[in-house]
Amino acid sequence: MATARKEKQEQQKEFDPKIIAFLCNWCSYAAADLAGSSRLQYPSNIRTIRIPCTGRLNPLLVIKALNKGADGILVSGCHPGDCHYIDGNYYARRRFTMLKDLLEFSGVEPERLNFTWCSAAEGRRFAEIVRKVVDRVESVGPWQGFLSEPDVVAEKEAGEIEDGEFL
Amino acid sequence: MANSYNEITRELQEIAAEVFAEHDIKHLLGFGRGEFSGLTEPVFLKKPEEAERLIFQDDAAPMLSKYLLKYKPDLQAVVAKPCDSRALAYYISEGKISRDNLVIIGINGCPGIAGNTACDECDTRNPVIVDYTVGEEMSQEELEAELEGVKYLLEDMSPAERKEHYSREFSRCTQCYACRDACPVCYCDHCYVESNQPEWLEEGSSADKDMIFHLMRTMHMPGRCVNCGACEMACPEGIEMRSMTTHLYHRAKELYNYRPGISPEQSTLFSDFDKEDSEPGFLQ
Repeated sequence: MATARKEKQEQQKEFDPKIIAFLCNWCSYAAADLAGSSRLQYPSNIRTIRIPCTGRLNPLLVIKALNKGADGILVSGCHPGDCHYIDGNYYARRRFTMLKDLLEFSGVEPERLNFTWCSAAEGRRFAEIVRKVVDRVESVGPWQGFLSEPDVVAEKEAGEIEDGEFL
Repeated sequence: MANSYNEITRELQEIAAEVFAEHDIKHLLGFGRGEFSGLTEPVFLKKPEEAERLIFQDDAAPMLSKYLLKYKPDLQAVVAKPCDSRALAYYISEGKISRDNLVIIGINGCPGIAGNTACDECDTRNPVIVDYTVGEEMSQEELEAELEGVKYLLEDMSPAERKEHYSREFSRCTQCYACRDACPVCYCDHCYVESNQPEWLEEGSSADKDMIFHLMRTMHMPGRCVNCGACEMACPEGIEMRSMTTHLYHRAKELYNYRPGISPEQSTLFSDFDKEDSEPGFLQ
């Protein structure tokens, strides 16, 4: 009963996507910084995680982020050829293409997985990218998990009751 | 044309005796009849007289290459199916084992393993690295004729259908890790599933954790999977999981013209790049 009510409440709430942004320290993080210091407006849906280089991005982190409830992913690094570590983003490009292929193959909407390049001078572009990513994620709705039957998961975790649920 | 099992068995026994005579090997790893199970199992032969124990049957499913890693400083002989020989070539390309320590008896024109769906779409019917061979080589034209019109698993399904398919399949998973253990190219000493710092896979079992396990396992496979189907053959629950790795296998071939284990000299998929690599679906 309580859970049914809670679900209804949640559905009524407007969808406010949570997007995890993995930004490379040398370009895209600086672009985000520039967008901020230039007072550019962009949606506040992204949660930034600074990584040394996109080459550092373990694909499992993306799977884990989605598993933990992120509605979308944005990975941004230096433009090809401009990597601070010379070729980190070239490696990342292959890895991310394969990850994207796998997740799309197993039923994740392509709109949730965003990969792009953004240099430190492109604050305006960064704001645009974030707007675009938020639009894309909003177009596919809230993330329901890797499984198509959420009931299967709910059933197994039914044992846990939140505090104050009986009150 | 694919060779018959009996023919291969007969030739294997002859060649095994030859290998024992010509090389000072620690053991010869091949397939033999299980003493109690009656199934075809891996056997280590130590003496030339044991050569007649070697067989090759349609249930010779185990991949032998992984056993070799345990004894890698010694000279070993191995009976290699074409997929096994690709796994070995991959080991050599990664520096996991030395070519000098291997005597490979390759099975030409492999007739395939019963019940293994990977064999129906196999694109390597002759071993890639060999010292000795048994059977007749299968020509490229024959192979192409056999693969004509063959589609790989779930290729025609829509993503939503596949999601449902995997939800159904992986709900049976008990996380026994047999798929990982059977896989010839899954050989890390410290696997992510057992790692608790960082904890990639949380404790306990639930449908979504099973899915995460499989997605993460598959994400280790592009550029390694030789499409042998051992994961699926080992699964006690009969879960269809090969389609994910197979998809990446074909994508790597399309995008980067990369097939793992084709030559011992090639670099691995993720340790190499081309500046002109395509960027499918990237935001502009």
